Amino acid sequence: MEDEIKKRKDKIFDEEFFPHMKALYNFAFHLTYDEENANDLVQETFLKAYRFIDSYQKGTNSKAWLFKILKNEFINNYRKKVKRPVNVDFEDVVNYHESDDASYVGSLDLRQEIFQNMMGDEITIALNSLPVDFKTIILLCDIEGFTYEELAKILDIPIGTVRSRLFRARNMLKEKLRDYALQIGYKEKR
Amino acid sequence: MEKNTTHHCDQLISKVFLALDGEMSADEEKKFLDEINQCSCCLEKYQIEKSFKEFLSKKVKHECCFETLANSIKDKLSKNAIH
Repeated sequence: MEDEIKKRKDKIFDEEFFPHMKALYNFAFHLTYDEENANDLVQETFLKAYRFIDSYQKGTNSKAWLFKILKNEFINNYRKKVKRPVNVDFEDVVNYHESDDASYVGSLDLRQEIFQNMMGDEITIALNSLPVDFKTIILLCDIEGFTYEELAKILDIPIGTVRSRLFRARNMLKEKLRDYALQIGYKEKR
Repeated sequence: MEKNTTHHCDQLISKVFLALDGEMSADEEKKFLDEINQCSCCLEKYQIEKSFKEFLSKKVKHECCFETLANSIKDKLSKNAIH
């Protein structure tokens, strides 16, 4: 009987969970900005998934389920371990009002030729300088392609907040990249 | 608002992210694209945001020794497995 349960669990792991390992690692790395911590975080995620596998319904959205476990594990156990502090500008905090009726117009333009000349490291540094909630939503939406409904479930926030947070996060990231572009000699268009 | 168009740019631009994030139905997306193609200002905004999203998904990647990680996870699972 125990062997059958183990076989069933192993099958779910092999078929539904392990295919997401690379995406989970990428998410973990950008949350912790440290390879060792990212490895530990992914391992903890899989161990937790195994422990709570009975609450997972086979064939449902395994990727969102695993990402939610990883996000919670990071918030509960890893956030304080991350050595590099997250830089939060006072202005960013003041402007960070999450509401459902936020305006989605007037977002910041970043000229295509600027960002297309940037390397991955520059983006990673800019992304890592964002407050963790903003960094998380960009990683989950723009990199992993989760829908707003999935994001709401993973992050435990309403869909309206998903939209407003995403909007602000993207603008903040573009602002960081534009600052960088200006530093290396690009001229302001607006 | 651009001449010869009947839409309000603000309203259309507010839908750009819904389109790019795959939050529109096929009909909604078609209508949106038809409309946005009629306004060079809105279209430029859409293309910039589209490129930025594509750019992020290409650049934000970090590889590791996935085989080692997978083996380590499997090893830990076999030791810690709760049947």
